[in-house]
Amino acid sequence: MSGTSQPDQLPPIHSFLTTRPQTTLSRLYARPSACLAVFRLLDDVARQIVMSLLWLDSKTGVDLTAWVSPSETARKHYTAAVLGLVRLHIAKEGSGRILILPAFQAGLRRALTGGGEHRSFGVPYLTAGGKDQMTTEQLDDYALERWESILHFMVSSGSSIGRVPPPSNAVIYLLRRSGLMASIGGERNPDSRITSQGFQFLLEDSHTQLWDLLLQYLAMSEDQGRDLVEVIGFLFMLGSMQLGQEYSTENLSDTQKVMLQDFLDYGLIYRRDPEDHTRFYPTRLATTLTSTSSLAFTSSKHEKAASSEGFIILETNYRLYAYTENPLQIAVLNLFITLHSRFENLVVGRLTRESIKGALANGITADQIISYLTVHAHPMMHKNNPILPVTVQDQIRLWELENNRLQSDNGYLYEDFNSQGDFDLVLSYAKQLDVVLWESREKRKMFVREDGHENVREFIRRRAEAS
Amino acid sequence: MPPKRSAEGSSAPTPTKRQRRGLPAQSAGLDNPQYDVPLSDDEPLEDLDLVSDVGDDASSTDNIAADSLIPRGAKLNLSALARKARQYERGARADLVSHMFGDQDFAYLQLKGDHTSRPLWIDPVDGHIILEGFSPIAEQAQDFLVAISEPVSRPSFIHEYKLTAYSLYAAVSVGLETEDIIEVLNRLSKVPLPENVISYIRSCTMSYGKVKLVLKHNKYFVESTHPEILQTLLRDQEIRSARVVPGSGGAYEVANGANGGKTKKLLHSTETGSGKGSKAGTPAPGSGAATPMQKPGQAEADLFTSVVGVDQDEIEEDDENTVSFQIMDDKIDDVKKRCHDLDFPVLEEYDFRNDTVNANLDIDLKPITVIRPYQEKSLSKMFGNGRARSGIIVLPCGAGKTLVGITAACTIKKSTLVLCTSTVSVMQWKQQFMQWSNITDRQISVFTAEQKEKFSGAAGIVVSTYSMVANTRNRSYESQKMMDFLTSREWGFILLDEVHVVPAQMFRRVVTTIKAHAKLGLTATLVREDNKIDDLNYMIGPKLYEANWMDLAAKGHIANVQCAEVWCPMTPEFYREYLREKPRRRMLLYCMNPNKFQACQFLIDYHERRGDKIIVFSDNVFALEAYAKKLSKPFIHGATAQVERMRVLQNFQHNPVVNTIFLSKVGDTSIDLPEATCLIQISSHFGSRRQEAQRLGRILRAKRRNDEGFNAFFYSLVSKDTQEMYYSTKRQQFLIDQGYAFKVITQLEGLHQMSNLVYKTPSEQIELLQSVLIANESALDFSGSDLMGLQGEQGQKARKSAQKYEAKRAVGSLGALSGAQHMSYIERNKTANRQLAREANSNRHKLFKKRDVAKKQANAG
Amino acid sequence: MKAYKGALLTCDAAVKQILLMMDESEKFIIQDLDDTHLIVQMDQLERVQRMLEVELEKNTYSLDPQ
Repeated sequence: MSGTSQPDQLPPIHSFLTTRPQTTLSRLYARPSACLAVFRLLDDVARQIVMSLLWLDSKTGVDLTAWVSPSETARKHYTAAVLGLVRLHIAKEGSGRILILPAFQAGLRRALTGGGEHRSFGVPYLTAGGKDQMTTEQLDDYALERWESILHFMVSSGSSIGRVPPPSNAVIYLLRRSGLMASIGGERNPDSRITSQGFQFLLEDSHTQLWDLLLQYLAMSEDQGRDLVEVIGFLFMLGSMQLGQEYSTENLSDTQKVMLQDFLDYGLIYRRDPEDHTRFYPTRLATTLTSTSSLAFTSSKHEKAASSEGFIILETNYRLYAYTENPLQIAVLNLFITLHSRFENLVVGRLTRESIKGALANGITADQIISYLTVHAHPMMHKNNPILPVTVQDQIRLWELENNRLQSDNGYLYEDFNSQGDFDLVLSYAKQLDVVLWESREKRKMFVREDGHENVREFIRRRAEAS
Repeated sequence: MPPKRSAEGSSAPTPTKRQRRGLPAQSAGLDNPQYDVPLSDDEPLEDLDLVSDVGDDASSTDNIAADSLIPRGAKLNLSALARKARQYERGARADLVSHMFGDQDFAYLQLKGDHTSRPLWIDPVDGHIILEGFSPIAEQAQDFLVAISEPVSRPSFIHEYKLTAYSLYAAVSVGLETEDIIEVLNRLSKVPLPENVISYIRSCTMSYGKVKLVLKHNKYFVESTHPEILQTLLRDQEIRSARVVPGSGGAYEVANGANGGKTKKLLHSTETGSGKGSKAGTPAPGSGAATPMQKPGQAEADLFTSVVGVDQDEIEEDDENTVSFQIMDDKIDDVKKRCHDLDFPVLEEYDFRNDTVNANLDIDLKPITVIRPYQEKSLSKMFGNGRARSGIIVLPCGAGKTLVGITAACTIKKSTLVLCTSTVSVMQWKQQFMQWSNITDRQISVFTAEQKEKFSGAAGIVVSTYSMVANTRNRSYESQKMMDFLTSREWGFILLDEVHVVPAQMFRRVVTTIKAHAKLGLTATLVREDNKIDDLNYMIGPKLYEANWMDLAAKGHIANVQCAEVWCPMTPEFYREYLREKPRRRMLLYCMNPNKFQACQFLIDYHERRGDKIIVFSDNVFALEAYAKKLSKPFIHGATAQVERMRVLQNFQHNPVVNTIFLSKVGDTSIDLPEATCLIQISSHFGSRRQEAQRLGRILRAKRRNDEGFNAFFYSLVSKDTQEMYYSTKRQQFLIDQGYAFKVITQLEGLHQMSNLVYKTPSEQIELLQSVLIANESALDFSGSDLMGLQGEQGQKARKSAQKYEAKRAVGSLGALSGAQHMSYIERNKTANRQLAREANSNRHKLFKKRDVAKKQANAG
Repeated sequence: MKAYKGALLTCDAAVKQILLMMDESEKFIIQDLDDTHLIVQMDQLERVQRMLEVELEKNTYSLDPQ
C-alpha cells in the first residue's frame, strides 16, 4: 500500500470538512461559491471525475473504471480520488458505479452557469470612479506587512529585546490556542514564546500557514457556537473574490461581519477607511485561499526571495551567510544563529553551540533547523550533495543529543522479595500494567512508575492476604 | 608539562607564566634529565616551540616589548571611526531586526547599482572583507585580497579576509600603491568603500615601504627616496647613535671595535647630555661632541646636509633619487625597532643583479624541473621589482615549499645559507638542491653536529640548523671555525625553513650574527598560538604570499583529505579514575582509554586492508610505546637511536609488510614520508591549531594523490567527556577555516566483530588501568619534548643522557611492578622494532656490500 | 518486600561516573542499580541536573566570538 493518495493528502480544509456531518456539508453546498471552492481544491483526478458526472442526470451512477488506465498507480490514484469525494459527500459509490450527490451537483452547476440571487460570490461595491481604487501592489504590500508582523511577533517574542508590536489579542489567543506559541509562566501572562510547533509552522509556505491558522479559527468559531456553514461559506466566498475589487458588506450575516473584523488582523481584508464598515477589499491572501498552488501568494518580492529561491549559504566552518533583507527571515535566523553583522542584502552569522542550544531550549528540534536551512539553501548550495555540509548537520544533532544524556522518572523501587517466585509474579503483573521501568531478576529488584505504584502495592497486599 | 589551561580560562594568562622559566632550573638535575635538557641554555627547538605554542606560558621576556613593534597604524581604532561615520547615516534605516546586530548593522551602506557583478562587502568595524567565492571575477579578487589582507577563512563559497596593519604593510612592500589599493578595493566592493576604511588604508600605508635597509659592500645602509624621512629618522637619538659617519673614523672604529659596549655608553651619555635640546640643536652626528644650542633653522639645515649633504663622501647615492646613511652592524636590530616605532618600518631589499662585490654562484634549475603556477606566483611577489624582497611565503605542507626556496636561490645566484629545524631536514634540503638544481656536491655543504663542511669556491650553499647557528656556548673547535666561516662572510640569501616553530630569541641571534642580503621564511602555517607572528614580520619581513589549501587540493597539487574525529567513550573504570585524578594523569588516562586502543586497532586494520600506509601520532611517549607494542608496530620517538630510526622509516617506505608506524612529536615536521596515506592521532598537544595543520600536512604530499578518486585520511581519536574533546575542537579551527570538514564518528561499524580485539575483557582493561595509575611522573609528559629535535653537540649529549635515563626507568618500573603482568606483557611485545633490526642484520651483507664498494671507489677517485 | 520512593535516573556510563563522584561530596544516590541506572532522592534531582550540566560543559570549546 503506497500511501500517496490517502485522505491525509487532502487539503487541510477538506480533511476538516470530512469530519463534519453530512447535513452540515449539504447546507454548505447550497452555496455555489462553496461548491466551486471545494471543487477547485480537489486534485486533478477528482476534478475530472466530478466534471464527467456533473452534467449527467443519472440516478444510478456511472462506471468510470473503463477510463482509468490499467497501471497500478493510476488505479490507486483513482480509488483514492473516489474515496475523497465520498468522504466529502460530493459523490457516493456502489458496486463500482459513482453517483454525484444532488446538493453538490446543483450548487456547482449554479456556480458555473451563474445567475440566481444567492450572492455567494460577494457583492461588488460600486464606486463612481477608479482613481482612488487600491492597486493590487498596494494591497499586496499591506497584506504582507500584516501577515509578516504576526510571524515576526512569533519569532522575536520571548526574547527580552523583542521590539515587534504585538498583534491583536485575538491573534495571540489563536496562536496560543493552536499551540504555535506558549505563554511564559502562567496562562494569564501576556508574554508568549514560540513553540516547536510554531517553528515548524514557520517552515511552511504562507498558504499552508494561513490554512493552518484558519482551521484553528474554524474550530474556535465552532466552540463559540457560530454556525460553521456561515464561517466556511464566508472563507470560500473570499476565495472566489477578485483581487483589486472592492466589495460591499450589505448582504453579509452578523457572523460574517464579525469575521471580517477578525480577518483585518491577518491581512486578509483591507478597509480603506477603518471607520467605514460598509465595504472592504480582499487581499491576495484571501483571494488565493482556494487555489491549489501553494505558491499562489508569491507576488511580493520578499516572498519570492524566500520561497522560490533559497538565500542561505552555510559553510563547513559553521559560518552562515544569508542573502536577505527581510526582517522576518533575519528574525527566524536569529532563533538559532549567532548573528554577527549585516549589510543591505547580506546577513553574516555563525552556527554555534550556544545558538543551537538556545534554540533547542525553546523546543526547536535539530531536524527543524536542518530542514529550514535546507529548504532555504542558496542555489549555490545545491551543487553540494547533500545540500548542507554533513559535518554541520551531524554536529547540530550531536548538540541535541547532549541534552538527552540524563532521563529521570519518579516511581518506586521494589526489593527484598522473599522468593524468586514472588518476584516473578509481581513483575509479570506490573509488566501487564506496563509500569516497569527497570528490573533485575538476579537482584530481585524492579522500578515501577509512580502511577503504577497503587496497583502493584494492592496486588502484593492481596496476595499476601490470600496466602 | 602540566596543562596550563582549563576550559573556562582558555586564554587567560596563568599564574605559572613566570614560574615556568624558573622552575625547571631548580628541578634540573640527575633525577629529572628530561627537564634538564630542554632548559639548558642551548634552547632546543622542539621544546621552545612548545612553549611558544601554548602561548600563555610563553615567556614574554623575549618579546621586545611586543607592543612597540606594532606600527602606529595598527593601533588605529577602526571601529571608533566607523561608529562616528554611522551616527550620520543611521537612524531612519533601523528596522525591526537592527538591534540584533548592535554595532554591526551596516544596512546603511547603500549597495551600488551594479552590486551583483561585484564580489565583496567590507565591514567597516573590523575590516573584514567578505568575498563571494563563486563570483566570475573571484579569482582575480582573491589574488588581490591575498596581497592586501590576511585570509581568515576560505571554505567553499564565501571567503573572509581581514585588513590589518601588517597585511597592508606587506601590500606596500610588494609594490602596491596606496591609491591603487583603495581604487581596486572600491571597484570590487558592492558597497562604497567606507570612509574610515579608506583612511585606515591611507594611514597604514602612508609611511610603509619608504625606508629600506640595504646591505652593500658588507655594510648596512638605511635608504630612502624621501630625504625628509631620513631626516626624521635621524632626529631620533637612537638611530643617530647607530649611524656610522664615514668621515669620522672614530665612530666607525667604535662600531666594529672589540670594546664597542663601553664606547656605546660613552656615545649615549653625550647624547643624553644634549637631552631635549636635540630637538632644536643637534650635535653633528658621530662627531662625539655635543654642540651647544643653535638656532632651530640652522639645526634643520645641518640635519639636512648630514643626510643629503654636499659632501659626497658622506652620502651613498644609488641613483639621483636615493639617499642613505650607514649604520653599525650590531645596531641593525635597534634601528629596525626604532624605525617601527617611528612608523617607518624598514623594508629589506637586495639588488642582487647589481651586486658585483659578492661572487656569483653558478646555480640554475635543471631543465626538467617544473615550477607550479602558485609557486611561480609566490616567487613573483618576492622578485616583483627585480630585487629580492625579504619576507615569508606560506604554502601548505606538501605544496613544494622546498622548491620555492631552491628557485629563489637559483634566481639570486649568490652564496646561500639554509637553516632548518633538524638534521633530517638538513639532509633532505641538500638532497633536494641536488635533485632540482645543477649544484654540485662540492658547492653545497652541511653544518651539523656530525658534519662540518665548507663549500669550495668563492660562493656556495651551506645547510644547517637553527640551533647549530644560534648556539652560543660550548662550541667545539671545529664548530667555532665553521661559525667563523659563516659569520665572516656576506650571504646573498638566507632561507629560513619552518619559521613558525623557531623561537624569537633564536631568530634574533641568527639574524644578527649572519649577514644576509635577502631573507626568505618558509612555513605551512603562520598560526602561532602566541601571536609571535609580529616578531616574524619584524625580523624577516612581511608575508609575501599565502596559498589557498582547498584550491591546491582541487587542482591536485596536494591530496584530498577526509578528516574525522572518532569519539571513544571512556570505559567506566577509566572514567572513574579520570574524574578523581590530577590533570596530568588525566591526560594519560584519556590516551590509554581501552576504547581508544580498540578504535586505533580497528582503524589500522581497516586501512591496512585498503592498502594504506599509516602513521599513528602520539605526543605522549608512554602511550606511544604501549600502543605500538600492544599492536606490534614499529615506533620512533626521541630516544630512538638514529640507526633504528632510519631502519624503521626505510621499512615503512619500502617494505610491503610494514604499513604502520607510530611517531611521537618528532614526526610533526621534517620527516618526509610521501608513502603515508592515513594518519591517526591518539594524543596531541593540547589545543595547538598549528600542530593539527602540521600533522595533516604529513599526508598532503601523498604520492598517490593524483590517483583517480584518491583520498587520504586523517583521524583524531578523542576520549568522550574529557578535556580532550575541548582541545580537539580547538585544534581543528585553523583547518576548518581552510575549508576542511571534520566528520564526527560516534561508532565504528564492525569494531566489535574484530576477532583479535585488544583489551576486550574487563580484567585486561583493569590491568591496563593499573599500569596507567602507577606509571611514574615521566610517563605523564605530553610536551613532546622527547629530544628528537635536538641538534648539535648539546643534542647528542642530551640524547645520550636520555638513553641512560630510559634504561634506568625501565629497570625501576619493573622493580616497582614486579608481579604486574602487563609490564612483562608489554616487554614481550616489544618486537616490532627488534624484528626489523633482525631482518636488517640478516640482510646487511647483501645490501651493504655494493654500497661499500661504491663508496671505496668514490673515495679513491 | 520493601518499596522506596525515588527517581530512577537512566544515563550513559560516563554520566553515571560523574554522578557517583558528585555523590561523594553530597549524598543523593539511594541505590546504584547498574552501569546506566541509579535511584536518587527526588528532591535532589534539580540540583544534580544543574551540577551535571556544569560538569559536562567543561569539555566543550566555544568558537571565539568575532
